[in-house]
Amino acid sequence: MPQQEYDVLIVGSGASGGTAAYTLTKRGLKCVMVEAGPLVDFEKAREFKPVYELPYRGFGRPGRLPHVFQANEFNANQWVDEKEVPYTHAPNQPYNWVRVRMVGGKSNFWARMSFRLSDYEFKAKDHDGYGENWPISHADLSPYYDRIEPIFRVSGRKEGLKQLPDGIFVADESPDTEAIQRVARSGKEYGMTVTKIRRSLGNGMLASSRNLLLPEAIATGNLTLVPNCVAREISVDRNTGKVNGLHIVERHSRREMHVRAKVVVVAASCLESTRLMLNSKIANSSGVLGRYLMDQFYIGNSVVALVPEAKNGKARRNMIGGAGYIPRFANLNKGQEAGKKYIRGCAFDFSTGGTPDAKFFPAWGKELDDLLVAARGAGVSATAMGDVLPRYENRVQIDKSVADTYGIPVLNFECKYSENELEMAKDSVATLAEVWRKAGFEVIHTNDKPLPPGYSIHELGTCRMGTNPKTSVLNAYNQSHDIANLFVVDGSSFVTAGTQNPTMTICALAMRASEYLAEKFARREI
Amino acid sequence: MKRRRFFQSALAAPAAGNLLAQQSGPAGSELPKLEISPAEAVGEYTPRFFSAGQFASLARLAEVLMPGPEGGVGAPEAKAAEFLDFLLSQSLPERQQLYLKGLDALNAEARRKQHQSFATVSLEQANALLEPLRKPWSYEPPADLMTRFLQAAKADVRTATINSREFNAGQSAGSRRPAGIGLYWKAIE
Repeated sequence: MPQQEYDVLIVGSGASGGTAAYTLTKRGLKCVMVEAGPLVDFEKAREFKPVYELPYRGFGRPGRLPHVFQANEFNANQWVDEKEVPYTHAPNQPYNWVRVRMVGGKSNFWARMSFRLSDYEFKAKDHDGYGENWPISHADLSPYYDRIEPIFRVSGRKEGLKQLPDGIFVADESPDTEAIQRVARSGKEYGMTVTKIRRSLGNGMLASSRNLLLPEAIATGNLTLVPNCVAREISVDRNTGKVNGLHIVERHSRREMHVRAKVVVVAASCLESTRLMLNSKIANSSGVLGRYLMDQFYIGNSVVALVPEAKNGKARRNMIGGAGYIPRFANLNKGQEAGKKYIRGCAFDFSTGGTPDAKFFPAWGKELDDLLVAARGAGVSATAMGDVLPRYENRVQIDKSVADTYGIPVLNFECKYSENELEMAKDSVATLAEVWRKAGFEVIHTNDKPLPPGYSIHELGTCRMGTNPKTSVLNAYNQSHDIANLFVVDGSSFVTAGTQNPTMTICALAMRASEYLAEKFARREI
Repeated sequence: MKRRRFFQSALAAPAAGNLLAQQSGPAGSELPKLEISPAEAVGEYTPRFFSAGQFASLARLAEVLMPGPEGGVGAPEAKAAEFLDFLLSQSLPERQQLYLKGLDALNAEARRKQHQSFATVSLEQANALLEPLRKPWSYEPPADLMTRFLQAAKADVRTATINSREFNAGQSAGSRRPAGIGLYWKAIE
C-alpha cells in the first residue's frame, strides 16, 4: 500500500501545534501530528501520596534534574529526563532548559497566565531604537487573540492600559482586598498599575491543547495524532527545494520511519523547533537560525513582606488575600527615561495572604516557630519577570559531539543576561520594595539577582520573524523565507520577548499563520 | 500510650498509597488485600556518610534548629539527622563537601569557643555558635562557609522533619503544619 501523503505535517502537540491543528483541520486540510511523548492518561498516571511516603521525603533524588528548579519529588517524572535528551553549555553559563514530552506538551502544566503583547513589544525599535520591530503590530494579531482567549476562557478585568491590551475576558469582578488596594495606591507615583491576574480558566482540570484544541481537531476527522515519535530531520525534495516530510524515530522501538506531507508546520516548542531545523540544515540562508535567544528573567520572591495589621491572626475580612499583576511600568513615555540605566521594563505578579518561607526569618528553634506563627497569613510576595533583550550573541547551536538517546545531536547554549537586564532587575526590585514600604508593609527580604536564563520556561526567539530575509528566518506569517512550504509557529518566531507570559501570543500567531497557510494551500500557492 | 510507642504504632500503620494501588480483577477473582508496613517501621538506619563525630554534631545541630515542642515531634523524633546522612550519601559532591566542611568548621568553632565538640554544647552555647544565621538569607549563597552551611542545614533539617512520617503522625505544635499530600506522577513508560 503506498504511503499516504498528508496535506500538513505538524511537529509537536502543545499550545502552538494544537492551535495549528485546530485551525487547519477546520479548514478541511488533512493533517498528521507527531508528538515525541506519549498520550498520558492523567487518571492513571497520577495518584495522591503523602510526602512522607516518597523515598526522599520530598527532596527528590539528588542530581536527577539539575536544571529543572521547578521539579520536586512529586512531579519529577513529568519532565524530560536530562540524561535521555541532554544539552550542553559552558560551566559558567548555565541555561535551565525545562521540557515536557507528552501530548499537550507544556500546556498541560503552565501557570495559565494569559496576556497580550502590546506595540511596546511589537514596535519596540520604534520606541527605543534597539533591535528590530516585529513585521506585525498588535492590530494585526488582535483578531486572533480575540478568538484564542474565549477558547482558553481567559479571566480578567478590562483596564485600558496601552502596555497590556485588554482581551475578550470572562469578567473577573472580584473585589481587590485592602492589601492589593494599598499597593495600587502607593505605586501610582511610580507609574505602576495593579491589574487582576489574567488567567486561562480552561475547562475541567486543564487549560491545555490536550483538552481545548486537539479534541476539536480530531472531531473533524482530519487529524491523525501520532504520539511517541521523535522528530529527527525534516526531509527536502532535492528537485524542488521544498520540504516533503519528516524522518521520525519511534520512541519505544527506536525504529526509524518517514512521514510524507505537502507542508510542514514546526511547533515542537521554541528550542526543539530550532534544533530540528538546524539538524535538518534548512531555512538558514540568513545565518540567524539559533540566534537572538531570549526569555523573561525571573526572580521568585523578589520582594517578600508582611502586612503588620494582619500579623498574629488579626486580619480582618478583605484585609488581605488574592493576587495582583503589575504590568511594565518603566520607560513607557520614552525609550529610556531619566534616571534609568536600562531600556524596556519589568513586570511583577504578587500574591497576598500566604506565610513566607522559614528561610526569610533570621532565626531558628522556638524563636523561628514563634515568628512563623505571627506571620501566618500575613505575607506578601512578588515574582519579577523582566524583558530580556534580543542579542545576537545569545544563541543555540548543534553540539555534534553529543547525541541524545535517539542518536540526534543535541543543542549547545551560549546565553547570559546583559547589563540591561541586571540593571532592570536591580531598579525594579528596589522600586517595588519602596512602594510596599510606602504601603505600610514590613519588607523582610529583597532579591534582585535573576535565576539562570531559561528558568521562566519562556524561551523565545532563535527563529525570528522579519521583513528582511537576510536578518530573519520567517516572514510575517511564520513562513520560512527560504522554503515556502515550511512554517514555524511557536515561540521561536518572537522578535522581542516582552514581560508578558507568551502562550496567548504563541497561539494567536499559530492561528494566524495556519489561516494564511490554508488560504495559500487552497489557491495552490504553496 | 507512651510517646515512643505512639510513634512506633504510627510507623507501623499501613501506607495508604500502597493499599490504593491494589488492582481489582474480574468479580470473584480479586486478590486479597495484604496489610504492609514501610521498611522504616521495622528497620533502623545506620549512619554511614558522616563520621561518628560529624554525625553527633549534625544530630545536635538538628535538635537545636528544630527542637520538638513539648510532647511533639522535632528533628530528633523525626530522625532528621539520620535521613540527612542518607540524603547526603547520594548528593552531588559540592553538597557533600558543604556539609563535611561545614560540620568540621562548626566543631572547630565549638572547640575554640566552648572547648568541646558541638555535639555536647548546651542550648545557650549552641545558640551563640549559630549567630551566623542572623544574617539575612539571599539567593546567592553567602561567601563564608559557616553561614552557607548553616543556612543549608536550617532548610534541610526543617524539610526532613516536616516531611517525615513521624511528624505527620504527631503534628501537634501550633506553628507547624503537617506535610502535604501531593499529586504524584508515576514513571512514564
